[in-house]
Amino acid sequence: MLKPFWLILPFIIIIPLISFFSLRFIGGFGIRSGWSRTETLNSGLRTQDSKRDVLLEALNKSKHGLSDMELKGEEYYKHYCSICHGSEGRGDGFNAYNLNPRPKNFAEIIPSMDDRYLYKVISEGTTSVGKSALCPPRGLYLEHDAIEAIISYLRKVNR
Amino acid sequence: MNEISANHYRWFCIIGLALIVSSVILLFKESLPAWKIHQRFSKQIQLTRLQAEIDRLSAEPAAEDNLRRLRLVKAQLEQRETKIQQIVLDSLNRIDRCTSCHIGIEDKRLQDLKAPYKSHSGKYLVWHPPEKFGCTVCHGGQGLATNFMDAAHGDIKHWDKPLTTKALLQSSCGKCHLDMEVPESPLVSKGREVIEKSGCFGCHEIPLFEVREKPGPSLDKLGSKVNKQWLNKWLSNPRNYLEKPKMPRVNLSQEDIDILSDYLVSSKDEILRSTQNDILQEEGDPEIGKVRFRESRCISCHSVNGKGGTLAPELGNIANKVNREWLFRFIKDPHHFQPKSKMPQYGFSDREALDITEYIMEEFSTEELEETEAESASIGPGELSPELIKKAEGMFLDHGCSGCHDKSGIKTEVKIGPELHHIGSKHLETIDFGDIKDVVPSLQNWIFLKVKNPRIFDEKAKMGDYNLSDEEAIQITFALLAFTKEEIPHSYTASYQKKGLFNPQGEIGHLFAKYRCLSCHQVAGNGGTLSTAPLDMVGSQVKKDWLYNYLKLPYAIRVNIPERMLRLWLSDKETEVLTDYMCSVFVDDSIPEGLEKTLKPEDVEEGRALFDKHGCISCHIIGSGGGYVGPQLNNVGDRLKAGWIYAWLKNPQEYKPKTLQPNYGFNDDEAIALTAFLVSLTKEQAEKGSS
Repeated sequence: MLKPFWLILPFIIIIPLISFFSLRFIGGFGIRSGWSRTETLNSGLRTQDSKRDVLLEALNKSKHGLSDMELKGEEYYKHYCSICHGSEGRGDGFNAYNLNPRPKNFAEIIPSMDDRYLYKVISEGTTSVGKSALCPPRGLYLEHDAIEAIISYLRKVNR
Repeated sequence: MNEISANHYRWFCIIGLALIVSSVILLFKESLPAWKIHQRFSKQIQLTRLQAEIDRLSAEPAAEDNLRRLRLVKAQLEQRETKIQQIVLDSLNRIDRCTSCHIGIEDKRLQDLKAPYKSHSGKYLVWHPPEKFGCTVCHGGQGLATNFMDAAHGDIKHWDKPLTTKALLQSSCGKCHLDMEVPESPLVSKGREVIEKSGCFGCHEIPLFEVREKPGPSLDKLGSKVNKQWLNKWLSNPRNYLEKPKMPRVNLSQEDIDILSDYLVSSKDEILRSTQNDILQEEGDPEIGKVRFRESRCISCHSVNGKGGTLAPELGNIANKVNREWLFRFIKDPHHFQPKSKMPQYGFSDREALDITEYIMEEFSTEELEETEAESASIGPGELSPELIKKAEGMFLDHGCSGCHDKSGIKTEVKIGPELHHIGSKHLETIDFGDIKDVVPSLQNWIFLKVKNPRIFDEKAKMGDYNLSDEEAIQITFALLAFTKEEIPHSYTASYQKKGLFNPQGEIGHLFAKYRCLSCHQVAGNGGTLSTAPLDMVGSQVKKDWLYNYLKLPYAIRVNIPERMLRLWLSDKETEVLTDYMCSVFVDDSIPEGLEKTLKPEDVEEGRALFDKHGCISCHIIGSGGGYVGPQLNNVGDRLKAGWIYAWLKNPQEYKPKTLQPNYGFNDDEAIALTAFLVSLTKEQAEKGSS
């Protein structure tokens, strides 16, 4: 009974040990992560060694430094606002020279305006803050999220 | 009997204990999985925040209903058991257990927490309630899993369907949203637009693009249009001739190109060859031609040196490409050469067409016109050897020319490129990256690289090089990733832009076909988008007399856009027929008729005051000043019907969702007043006022 005992020993110690550790490695730490691991994934794409993720690179480049919300705001701005306020908000849009008073340069005035003021102007028009009627109200057809997106874009571009 | 020494006993106990202890530990771990912890924690936080909200509301008066509701919610929450949550979706063929950990996903009070306690961002769950959609149909991953790793959160090796990363998430929307414009997914929308514009469906079967006209022109009678020299240059690389050609660069050797050119220019127009056109012996007047060119608004569709429309070919160096005879004939009757062309058949006289031809041949060339007569006359159709014809036809089919170009005599139903129905589900193992080793191997990277440079993985690839920008390649990749193997039942797909049937027959059908109205205008969702206003209700919008005069001689209604309605030189009879038809058929009953009769003079004054108060002049020209954003309003009373002005002012976005016209929230009286004022702005009134 002693000799077979030495034969059984590896089966009792070594194999469970090996399987335990290999499960940890192969399963990708599955057992450990069963516990609350509130890991936030950064875009989820691990770069393997030094390989390039070409699509992600091109995508990030095309965003020219803007977040998703700011990009959305940029779209709205280009469509609704740029024709008077200019593509960069300098008050030099195609229609700006027909307006009296002319739109001001955003870079000079936006930093001092708070979000609530900007929201009011965009949704209710410039009359709601005591200015001319030339910039109309848009609250009836621009969603809350859309106006927030425009504001975030304006802030980003006019620091 | 064997002796068992104390040493052996010791070893036996140690090992036995180790086994027992590890079993207990494992059992313990199994009984306390992550999801239980998450659910308990989430419940705790939800109850705390709910209680805080109840407390806050109790302090406010008149909040009884809300309070009652909240107390009910709290009671339900307290009774919630900790168990596996699953959403069983038979029609989508899946079971999602994501909510076992992400149990608070719909509770908007948890916006600021970290995953998995954080609630879903935006309004997505309002539009797609989890009990109907589940989670994996948008997010991918393994719905049945109940722990972090098995659900394939992140880039976990060997899982077929890992969770879609945030960057690529918008392509999932395209699985169910089948319109060209996909909400909340600008890249997919733009991608579908690029596919439409580039004509990828010429070689590939692509879902949503199954029924399309061939993207290229017919190649019949090509020999009457261009000479072999030009065609050789073009086939070698279309960018030799155009900056932004629609045709891709094909992968053919110079010899093959030569053979193909010979074959293609051997096809000539019988009429051009046989008739001696007397008028062509004369010389047209390019100065008059220039005026006619401008009047006909050719640049609404064509571009000249990059400026103008994008619907039709660039004309900046057209004189280098086509010959004078052909151009004259084409301008007189485009449909003879291109039956499916979008170009209308203008009502030019011979003399007018000659003048325009002369102007174009003189003005739109960038180099010395080489002596081409000899070349084009060299080979007639009967003079090609049968072997050459056979070889060329083989090439024509083999390289997919027939997918984009019609050519009589060559019939094919098969597209040479692989079909893209399930490209979004293509397995990584079936993708060949060729010699490219420094790129992360993923489906999206492969598609992106392939679309940008089709020869990158295989020098001999037949796919044409479209010279796409990075942005366009990204957009196409996103659009293609939406085409997966998953079967989405009809109850889930969203297709709002439905096309109605519009197939007029008889005289109207003939006029619509001759003048190709639908190249620019839309009726019932059919047609082009060059004109931003569909024709479906034009009879309710504009006055009949005005429409007649406008069709006869269009003018600029909107000052700031370059595209204008073409002057088609319609005959009186044709104009009358079209006007009658449009004013009686293209009508919408929701727009009130006869509003003019109810307008009073007092309304006009009130309307004028409102016009000033709301600063309408910032966008519209009125009197001697105003803005360039909207249409000019002098004489708008001659153009628009009162009912339409009223309906438009009350809710512009209903008729044109992306219009720049604001919705001021006018009540009925205000809208009537403004309508009365605008209706009063007629030519008659202006003349009375100035006299």
